[in-house]
Amino acid sequence: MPTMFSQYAWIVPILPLAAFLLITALGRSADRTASLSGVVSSALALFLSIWILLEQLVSNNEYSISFTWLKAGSYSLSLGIEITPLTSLIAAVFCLIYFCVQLFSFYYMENDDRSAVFQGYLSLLAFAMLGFVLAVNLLTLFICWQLLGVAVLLLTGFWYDKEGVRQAAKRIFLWGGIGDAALLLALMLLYWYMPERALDFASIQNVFEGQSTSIALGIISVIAGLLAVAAAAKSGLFPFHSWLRYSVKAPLPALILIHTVTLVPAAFFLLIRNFTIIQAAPSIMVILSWAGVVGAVIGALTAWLQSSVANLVVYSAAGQLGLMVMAVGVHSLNGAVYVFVVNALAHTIVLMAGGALVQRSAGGSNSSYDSGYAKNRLASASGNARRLAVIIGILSLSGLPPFPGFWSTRYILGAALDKQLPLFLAGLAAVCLTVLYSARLFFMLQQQWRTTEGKSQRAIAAPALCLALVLIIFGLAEALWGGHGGLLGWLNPERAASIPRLAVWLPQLIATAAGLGMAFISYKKAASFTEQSVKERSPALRVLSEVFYIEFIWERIFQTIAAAGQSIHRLDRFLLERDVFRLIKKAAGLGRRR
Amino acid sequence: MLTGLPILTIIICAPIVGILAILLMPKERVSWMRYGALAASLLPLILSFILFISYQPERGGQAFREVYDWLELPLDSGALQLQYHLGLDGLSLCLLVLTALLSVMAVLASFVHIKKRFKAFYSLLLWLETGLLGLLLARDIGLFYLFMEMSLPAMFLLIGIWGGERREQAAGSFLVHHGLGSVLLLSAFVLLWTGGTAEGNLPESGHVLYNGSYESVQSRITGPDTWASPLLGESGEDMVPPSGMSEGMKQLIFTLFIVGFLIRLPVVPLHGWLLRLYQQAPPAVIMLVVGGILQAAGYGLLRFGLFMFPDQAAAGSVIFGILGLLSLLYGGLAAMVQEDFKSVIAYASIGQIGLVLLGIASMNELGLTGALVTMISLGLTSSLLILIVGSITERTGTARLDDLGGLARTMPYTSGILIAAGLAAIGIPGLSGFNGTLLTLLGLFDSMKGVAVALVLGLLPGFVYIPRAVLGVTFGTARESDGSWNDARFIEAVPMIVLLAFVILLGVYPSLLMDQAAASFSHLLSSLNTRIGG
Repeated sequence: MPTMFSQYAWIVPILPLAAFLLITALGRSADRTASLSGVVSSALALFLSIWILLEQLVSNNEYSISFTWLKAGSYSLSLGIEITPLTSLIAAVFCLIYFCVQLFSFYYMENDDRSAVFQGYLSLLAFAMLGFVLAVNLLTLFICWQLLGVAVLLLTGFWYDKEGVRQAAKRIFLWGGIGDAALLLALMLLYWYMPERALDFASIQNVFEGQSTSIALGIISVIAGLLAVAAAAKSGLFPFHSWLRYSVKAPLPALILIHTVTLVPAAFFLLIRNFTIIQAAPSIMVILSWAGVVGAVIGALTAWLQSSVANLVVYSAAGQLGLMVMAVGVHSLNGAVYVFVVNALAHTIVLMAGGALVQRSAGGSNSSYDSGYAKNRLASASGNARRLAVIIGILSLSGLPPFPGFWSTRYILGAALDKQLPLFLAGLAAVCLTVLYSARLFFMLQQQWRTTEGKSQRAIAAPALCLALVLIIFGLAEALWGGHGGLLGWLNPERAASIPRLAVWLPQLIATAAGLGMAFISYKKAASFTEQSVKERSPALRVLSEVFYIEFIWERIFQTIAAAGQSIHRLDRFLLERDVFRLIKKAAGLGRRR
Repeated sequence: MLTGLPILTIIICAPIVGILAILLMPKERVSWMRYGALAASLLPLILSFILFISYQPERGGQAFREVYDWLELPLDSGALQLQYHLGLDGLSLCLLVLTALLSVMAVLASFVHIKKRFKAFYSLLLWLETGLLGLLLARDIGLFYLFMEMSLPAMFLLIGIWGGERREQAAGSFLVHHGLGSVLLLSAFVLLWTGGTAEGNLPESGHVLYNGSYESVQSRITGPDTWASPLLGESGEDMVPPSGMSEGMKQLIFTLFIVGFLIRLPVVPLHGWLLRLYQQAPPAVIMLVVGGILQAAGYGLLRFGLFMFPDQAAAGSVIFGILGLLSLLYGGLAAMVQEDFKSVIAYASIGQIGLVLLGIASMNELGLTGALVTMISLGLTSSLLILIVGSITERTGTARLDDLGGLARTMPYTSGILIAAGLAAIGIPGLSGFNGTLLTLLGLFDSMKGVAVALVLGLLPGFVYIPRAVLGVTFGTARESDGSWNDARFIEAVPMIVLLAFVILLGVYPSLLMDQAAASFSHLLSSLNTRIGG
């Protein structure tokens, strides 16, 4: 089959961009129309991206299109998009979640007088992310990566007059900026060291996969290291996690998008897209795998200690990102993609269905969410459906056997065992802790439901249930037919995962069971975790809940830099007070006296 | 179209005609003066747009050349000739459009922000515009200097009369710095004019015509036959040029130029006047400074520093690199801790000037184009920012960051533009700042790897000071007394929208600008390469 739909792939990112422009142009005057355009564009994008994905599934015909964006003499830079199995899959998953979130926010923000603005920002975020995913070269990727930061800044700052929002937006933007700078450096190095100044991924793959790269190993390591730093800083991987807890200030739909499919998993996608470069630098691979597993363990531990659903999910997403990065580090690309897909779906369900509870614990919402559809007989049915969806989401997340979380982790653990035994053991610890905090998440939601019974709504039940269904199908399909390289084997057939051995899945099951056991034992204890109690309970827990106080180290560094600025400022004041002008006055005074 | 007309002269004279008209208007007819000034500044803008569209880089600016002999000063061994010589190339054309655009925007901005002595203000503003437009079009060093000096008294009065509380100091500081720069530049021009010839170096035929046009100056520097002029691709008039200058003389003139223009740009140890200006001058004047005077200095640096002395510039590129890096880091770090929004913009501008210098330091096509794009972006974004801050200050009576907040509620429209402008200033893709930064960086890495890495680090403070200032003003809870403000009025909004439109246009479609400018640089570089290679 020729690339029938793929050649229209450029429309996919254009759709949300058009929605953004339309909404911005209409302004606040046409609130509902504007919001609707966001939903419609997301639906169209989803439709098209699914067709493209199906086409890729069938034919595996890669397709790319690009144009020269700017020319300076003999140098030129181009932008464009590329459709490969990987990009089409990620784009389709993104579009699915994006569509659900658009629907969700259409109702969620109904009574906010700036709902149109919010939909516009969401569309900008979608444009940036789709451009980022489909980018044909590193420049396109970089541009969209920066726009992603801007969109997140706008979304986080949406409720700008709430307390702490300003601080949160500044933090996220600064960390994003550090990531941007690292990626810019990597881009610059690649531009000058690649033959013929090519930045497109196809050429990069050719150059780095060939046995005799013309680029020195040192340079490759620097580039790969910069990519890793860029990914970690922008997406909040340990030890760059300090902005994560600020991100809960964003409105709920934005929170979902940021943590499930855009900013946080962006790190994973950046790494996997440039995998050929990173692979060529073995030391960076080792560092990545360890950074990933440490991030996963710490993310899971911190998530377990959180006292609000939103914070818990935020750290959970960070922990899962750690798993993805670890997967990249141990060459298990399919495992990484798998974790991404499962997480995107599961976290979205939890956050959407956890709904009002989540946002309330994050500092209150001014939307109609709590009171909207309350006294309706249908509410109880939809409430049950929603609860079912949440349970499936949490089960998938925790990695209990028939659900997809189990299969995704199995690939990663298998690859880790092939590399290093300690890595494998650390991975098992992450699995165990994941079950632990998933259970806590479940208990927390359960408890909060009980207190706010009856206040539910239909709007989210349907999309949540659909996502849950996708998860179940995914898990079952893997269980039934996953033997030969796994469901995602078609992504890169030559690197398909080997059939997992007993040595992998048995310890994994044991770790899962241990996690469950611990969850039940500590249920009473964990239920009483509040911010206050964690701090008072024991110094060890306190250190953990503050993530080893690393944030304070960063804080100190920033303060030092600000102090440098301060001293420059003082120097300038000094010079300004007694500059040339004053000297001349003095000279004139001297002359007069004679 | 328009081929028969002396279009360049019309561009320069339109503001002068405007001044005459304004001076004849009755004193109480303020709106007449306003619209008169607007019309007088609109005409150059329209004409420069037409020029920009019809200009073909490969043909050069031949069609628009205007040359008339103006005056001749007899000397012992010849005569000093001053020509009225106007011309155009890609470099000056881009800056011409920018200056003409910002002049119109400045006139519009002054509708709101100027509240006294209208006749004098608009006359001076147009006078300043004449000087700024003229120096870009001049093709004779004497004429260039005349136009450049026109801006000096006008600026002094504009700051000194319409400025803030400490306006005299700001005006004085401006005059001292620029006066010093002028002295250096004048000596450099005189040396160039007379060819820097030593006694024994004169041709035997006796009578020498010292002509100030760029081509003849060029051939006097390098000797008659060495290489064709990169400027207009024309050989000089029929005169007997003295043979090339001595190396020492070249170095001297080059140094004078560099120092003179770096004071005006301004680079870090000499930036005091810019800070004061931002603090005290009215927004319209600041717009003409960032969109005209700084551009003029950058243009002079390129035209006289690089184009005329490519060898010396190549040798001195390390100095540009160091100074540029210093300005970038200094401006960025200092902007992080300012308490006043205007100071933040001032330091941010200094940082961007550093970026321009770094682009020049790279001495290759990418970097030089980057420098030009950054310069234009600096003019657009800084004037947009200062315009918005001017509007905010007019309502709240303060520009202190601690006293402001929550404007997104009361002035949502202005806040939106402010955020966009702030993002443009730190080089977010899709807005004008990004392209210049990217090109500069790529160009610089080719010639100075370490400096390029430092440049990326130097961009980081932007991610602190812009959110700190912009979000600090727009986000947060509004003060109680703020409920009564209105958002921007129509006449305030027009310049903001136009400037933002250009910021976005340049960000999305940079080729528009770069295709016109590229030819100027490629001439320079090919000559430089052959000279170094040969």
